[in-house]
Amino acid sequence: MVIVTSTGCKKDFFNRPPENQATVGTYYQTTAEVQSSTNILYAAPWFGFNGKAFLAIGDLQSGNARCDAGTDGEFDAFRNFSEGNATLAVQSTWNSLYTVIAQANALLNNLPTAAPASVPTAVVNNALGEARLMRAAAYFYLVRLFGNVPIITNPAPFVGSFQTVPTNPVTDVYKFMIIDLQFAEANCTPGVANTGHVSSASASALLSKVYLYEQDYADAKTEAEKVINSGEFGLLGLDNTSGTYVNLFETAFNNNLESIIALQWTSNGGYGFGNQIQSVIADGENGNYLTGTGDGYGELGPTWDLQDAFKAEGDTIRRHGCIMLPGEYYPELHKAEGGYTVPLAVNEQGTHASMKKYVVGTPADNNGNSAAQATSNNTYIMRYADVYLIEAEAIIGISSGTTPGKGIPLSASSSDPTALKYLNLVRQRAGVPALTSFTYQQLINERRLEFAIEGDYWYDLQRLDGFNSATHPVAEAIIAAQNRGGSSGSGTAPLYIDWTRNTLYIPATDANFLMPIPATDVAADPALTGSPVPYKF
Amino acid sequence: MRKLISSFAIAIVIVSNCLSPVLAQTKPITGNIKDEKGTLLPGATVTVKGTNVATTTNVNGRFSLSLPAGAKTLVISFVGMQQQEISVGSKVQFDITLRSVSSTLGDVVVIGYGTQKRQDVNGAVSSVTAKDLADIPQPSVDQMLQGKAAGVTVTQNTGAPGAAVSVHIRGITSFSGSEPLYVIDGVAIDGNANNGYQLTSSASPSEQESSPSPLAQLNPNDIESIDILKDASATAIYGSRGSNGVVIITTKKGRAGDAKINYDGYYGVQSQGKFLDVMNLPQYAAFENALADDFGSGRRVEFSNPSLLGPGTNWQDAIFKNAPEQSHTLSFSGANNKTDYYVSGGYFDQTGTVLGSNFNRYSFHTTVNSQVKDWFKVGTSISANQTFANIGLGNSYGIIYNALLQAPDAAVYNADGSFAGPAVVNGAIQGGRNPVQEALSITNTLRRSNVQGNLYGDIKFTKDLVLHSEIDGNFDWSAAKTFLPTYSYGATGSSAAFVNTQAVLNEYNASDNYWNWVEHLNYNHTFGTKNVLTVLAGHEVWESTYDGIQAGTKGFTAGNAIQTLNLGTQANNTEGEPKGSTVMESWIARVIYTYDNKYSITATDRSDKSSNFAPGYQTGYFPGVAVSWRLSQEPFMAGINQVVSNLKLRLGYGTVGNSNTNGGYKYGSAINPVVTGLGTGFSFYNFSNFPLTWETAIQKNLGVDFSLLNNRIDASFDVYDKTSKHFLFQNTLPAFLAGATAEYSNAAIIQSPWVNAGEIENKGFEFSISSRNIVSGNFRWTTNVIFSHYTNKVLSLNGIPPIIGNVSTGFGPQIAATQTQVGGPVGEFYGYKVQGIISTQDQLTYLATHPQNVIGSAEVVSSDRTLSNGIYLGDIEYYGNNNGNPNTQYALGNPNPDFTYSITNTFNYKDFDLSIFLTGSYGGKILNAVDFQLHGAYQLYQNQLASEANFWTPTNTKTDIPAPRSGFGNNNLVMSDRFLENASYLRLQNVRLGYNLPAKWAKYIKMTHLKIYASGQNLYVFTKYTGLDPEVGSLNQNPVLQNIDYGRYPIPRVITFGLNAEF
Repeated sequence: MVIVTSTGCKKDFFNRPPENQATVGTYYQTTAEVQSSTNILYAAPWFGFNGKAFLAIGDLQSGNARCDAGTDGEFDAFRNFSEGNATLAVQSTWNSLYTVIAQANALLNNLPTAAPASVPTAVVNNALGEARLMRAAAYFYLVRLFGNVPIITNPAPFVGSFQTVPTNPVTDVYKFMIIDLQFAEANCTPGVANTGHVSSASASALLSKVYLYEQDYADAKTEAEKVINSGEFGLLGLDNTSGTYVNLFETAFNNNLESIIALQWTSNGGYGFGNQIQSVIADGENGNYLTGTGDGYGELGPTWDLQDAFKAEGDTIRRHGCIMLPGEYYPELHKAEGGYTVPLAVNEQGTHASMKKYVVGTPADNNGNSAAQATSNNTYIMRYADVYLIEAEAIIGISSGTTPGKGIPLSASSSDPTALKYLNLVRQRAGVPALTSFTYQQLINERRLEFAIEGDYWYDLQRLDGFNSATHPVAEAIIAAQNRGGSSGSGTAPLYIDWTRNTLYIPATDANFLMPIPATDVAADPALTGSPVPYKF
Repeated sequence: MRKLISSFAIAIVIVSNCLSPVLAQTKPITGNIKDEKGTLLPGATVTVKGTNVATTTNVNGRFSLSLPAGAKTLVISFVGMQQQEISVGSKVQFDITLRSVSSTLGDVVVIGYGTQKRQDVNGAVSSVTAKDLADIPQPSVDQMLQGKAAGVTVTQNTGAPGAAVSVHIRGITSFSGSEPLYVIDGVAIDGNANNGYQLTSSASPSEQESSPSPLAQLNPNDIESIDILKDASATAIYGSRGSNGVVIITTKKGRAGDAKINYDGYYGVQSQGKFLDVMNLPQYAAFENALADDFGSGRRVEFSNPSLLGPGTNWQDAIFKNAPEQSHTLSFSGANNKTDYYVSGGYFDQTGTVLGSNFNRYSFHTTVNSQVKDWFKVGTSISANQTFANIGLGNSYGIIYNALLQAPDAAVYNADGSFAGPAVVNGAIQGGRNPVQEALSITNTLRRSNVQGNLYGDIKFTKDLVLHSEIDGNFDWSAAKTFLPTYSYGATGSSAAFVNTQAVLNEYNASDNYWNWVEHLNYNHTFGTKNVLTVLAGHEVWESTYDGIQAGTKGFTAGNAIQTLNLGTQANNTEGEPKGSTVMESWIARVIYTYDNKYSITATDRSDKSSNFAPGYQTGYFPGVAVSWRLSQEPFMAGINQVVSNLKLRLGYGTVGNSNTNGGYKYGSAINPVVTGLGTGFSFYNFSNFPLTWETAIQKNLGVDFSLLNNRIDASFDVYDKTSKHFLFQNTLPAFLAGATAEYSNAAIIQSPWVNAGEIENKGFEFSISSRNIVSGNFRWTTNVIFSHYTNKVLSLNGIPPIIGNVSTGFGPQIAATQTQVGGPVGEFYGYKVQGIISTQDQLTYLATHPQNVIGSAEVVSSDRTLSNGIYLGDIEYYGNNNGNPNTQYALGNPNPDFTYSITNTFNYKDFDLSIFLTGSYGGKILNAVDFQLHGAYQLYQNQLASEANFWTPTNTKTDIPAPRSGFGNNNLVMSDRFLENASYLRLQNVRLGYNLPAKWAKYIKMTHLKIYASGQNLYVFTKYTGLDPEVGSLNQNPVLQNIDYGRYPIPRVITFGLNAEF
């Protein structure tokens, strides 16, 4: 025994790589591995943003949705523009979007050196393109929400010195996104968006939106037309009659022809991997009856202002897909029991209505693919209707002769046939009459109705006063006129009609158009609250 | 202190007698040797003083000896007994009674890869014997160490059955786990609960509570002794594994003499000792009205007249209950000829004081040793155990937390016996979930089975040279399961508030295998009569592997009754397989040289090679040296030997290492499979750091041991400095580099890199004093005092930014609550400092021009209470106002106590004994994190502490509770000293009264010994802390999250009745 021990153990004995994980050295070795390496960028990292912040910011803050004060700690601050640096949804937004960026960066930094020559360059570049598109998509939210933010491409140099990393100015972040998206446009495979992975035209679409925000209308128009001309996409219910506007938000219609960039959730990974939106907004009435999975918290209801906006437009198709009203019938919910009729007493957050968009029903309604706080329906980052409306807006933007820094006047109008053509396609699908000319105000209203409860309206309001503007008089005027009140005195008369609307107006100030960087990161890096430093490209 | 002085005084007054001298003669003699109880002692040594003539007593305790001419004195010695010198005189027959030493000087101390007599030990070692642990009704050994050894700080993180405790030996020097290494009969078990995968307590992380104790499987009744190696000169022999100290547990062995049958058992009742004063229904209704007014959301109709309401539901009564526990151990032991054996079986069962939790354990233990040949000895020790824990709801923010926040207007049950819930009014659910329903319906269990054992052989080449070969194994199997059933419940007459139609099952079966092979050659020789040399050289190699299967499914069409994977909906199946391994190889050397029982030096060195590091960084060397000087053996001390019977100085210096990175391969980057809607995806798992290598701790120790007044007082005093360099640490990166937990999910965030960072120092002193105050006749009184003090300071972080400890606040966001920075202690609380409540217009005027900023933006003066960036009368004003820029944050306090102490008084009167055991902790702060919710007043529908009703109003200004305001993270709900409290406490840990049946009566029932006792555990806690219990330890042993109270499972009060019988 002494002899054996005196020789010591062999070198291999001490080599213990992970036994249930791949490593950077062993992964990315085949075409299939490289192709699946981007899957992560479509799901889990987005979870913290998708769940609550997505609607809290995009719809609650913008006046599409309301909640009562003091009933939900997460949404509370967003009802009156008072979110602080310790508000959970603010922290979740920042953390989640930077998780997307961290995963994209890891892929971008490791894949080029790890992939062997046997994997075709086009496959590698497609993956790099997807990663850069997703990184740009995350930065697009970050820069709109927080303003100046740090641009990180490689975390390694900062691992031991992150306390002095500064933010970079908004304009540099836009420039950075455009570079990323141009790479994606050039390198992503065309025509594959219906697989769930983004295509080259997906990059063009996001690029057109980024240009639009920058008020670079000419480039926005060029990019939007690239998407249109690619022929890859169409409107569900118009170009393809297998479904309607209402179906867009159902699990069975994931990656339909209208889907350009969408988050790809699964109900089978537990908390953190599925779509949480249904559990947050599905009506809690009848005790989670709608979801059947013990959730459905009805944390938001549609404001009178939004309900009135649908009514004013005579818009019933999109309203039906977005908001449930008392007595309305939805055959796709509780299919097994013959559908779902909205109770007359429905009154989410005092609105006498409840949310429909992204509410997909029980596991049975989704072929088993839904679970508590985890449904498997996609969340749209961009869908094709957006491209049509960007095209129309770019045209009116060019014609209104606006200079950057000041938004298109709400009164600006256009009867450009191209703009009208695309605007009217969106309206046609929604079953509202075609227009012969339109004002910018009408266009913004169209966007609001088309994308209500899709987490988008806030950013429209934010940019009305021009790119990177410190003041927001136009948006503030719109917000000041929104009735965000609930109702009182309901519930005793037959048909629950004895309620009266309360009025509640919550004005916003210029300071409310950006959120503070979360306290946890500022504690780690006090330089985040200092002046931005130009980014070295 | 006063107690100490009085015991000295008593000790001086009482002087014991010596035997009178008799004339010497020469002849053969015989005799027998007994202990104080009259039990004959086999194996006692009888030596003729000044000669080599010696013998030992036989199994009947008898000896015979031929005295050489001129022999005058016999020296009688036996382990655990006071050595006696007896003048031979004219007697040929001797009846000798030895007294047990209260002083542990004669005891054998296990020092790692060998033993030493206590008087020869050069390092800092504390010992706890079975006697010290007897009759303490604690389920686990680590819990029993509390207050039993100087320098060892034990805190119970939770009172949940079977859960881990924090054991810190001489403070915190490491971030990657500060728990000691436990060595049970040679089998090393890492004290860090998070280190082994099989220890994860729950199949579903969201239901996980505190990690289970690594030691919960060992039956405390099987333990003979526990030796705690504290300084590096002692632990260096364990090299890299000893950086946090080593606890060596030796199990019982058979003793020569009549074979024995032992029964130990107790039955007890546990109860919750303290409840929080939360609002009853009238108070709650009035408070909700005030909140509704403030938030402008309208009062609830049913609360229109709070004074007419009944008291409502007391949710603490609903979840806390009195619960039984019982323990039974039966053992058989003996020794004859050349073989000794010990066999035992045990059963322990504990129902939790919180609804839905319980724990039980079956344990079997066998030890056999045999001198097979003159030159060969073989032995084995094998334990087999199974524990089963019903964990119920998760611990942090689990059932207790939910019960405290649950509104008193909700009932537990409806009149028809179904679970009640809040009513649904106009689509809104008027309250939270029913914690009783959750506790009783959710399945969350953990079954662990374990076999551990060793097999050794000692080959004696010569009288002095022995080869010890040993193989150890530890094999664990665990099965964890969570099942969420379908349910539907709510208030009578309303639609069900909470419905789940999809049952969810998760199971997790894992195995963990550890083997260890040791060879060491021992040489022991006495040169001349005074030079004793002991040399050890050895080699050790071990491997630890784990492998588990995780599986889950959803949708049980056959109902809730049968909870197996095959009954779920197949499309919903999920699976995973955690797997990994670590290996280490070590070379060991130790030389001990002692001269004339006076001077001694121990030198050790060990090299360790670990697979946790990359090639080129795998090997570390850990030397240690200690010297001692027994002054009491010096001639110049002879004059005062009556007063100072023993005096020894010890000086030690050593280095130890740490390679614990919570799993291997942290030097490289792994890629982790994750599920996505696009199929399996791969997430980048962690940042790499190739040069990652050993953490090293350098320890210096100066100690003195002394015994006074004929061993009436024994004391040890040690001062030390323990500094760890390049400590291993997972450096938390900010979100913008690595992502971070968002909406409670940390899926896909990139794990921060492990780095060798900085330097932490612990300086401290500790002492233990054992005083036999009264030893006369029928009445005896002994006092033991243990005192430990250390200061913990970060000397360097190698340039990395301060380490932030983020605390979850229940339903709120994470809050940065602690900051570990250079010059401060680990895990120091950090945040804003309260100046007072704003109650005058002058203050508002000032704040309008000098805006306060504790929420990330300058706060505007506004009477709108729903504006969370507003500030107004009744809000908190903080120090450090920076005119709109963020207020200055301050270090707010140290979670480490100034000192911890324990006092045990034992009284014996005839056949009765009484012991009173107090433990305490003085100084240190505790963060009452429950108060963020329970004292938050920011949201409707959740209950509050009754004291919250005293919030500030224009007519109630004499208060320090701010006015309510909506939204978490508002001006009043940020990390501040408002939530910190003094953590000092004194716990009446144990009072025990025992009665030994006189031997003559016991004989009638065929017993040699019978004792009955009653014991009260955790009878009372003296503290100013307002939460349930000030002893909360560190959350899952995380050193930057110490003393943070999340409403964890409190330690119960236990009354037990027990019986020890020996046949």
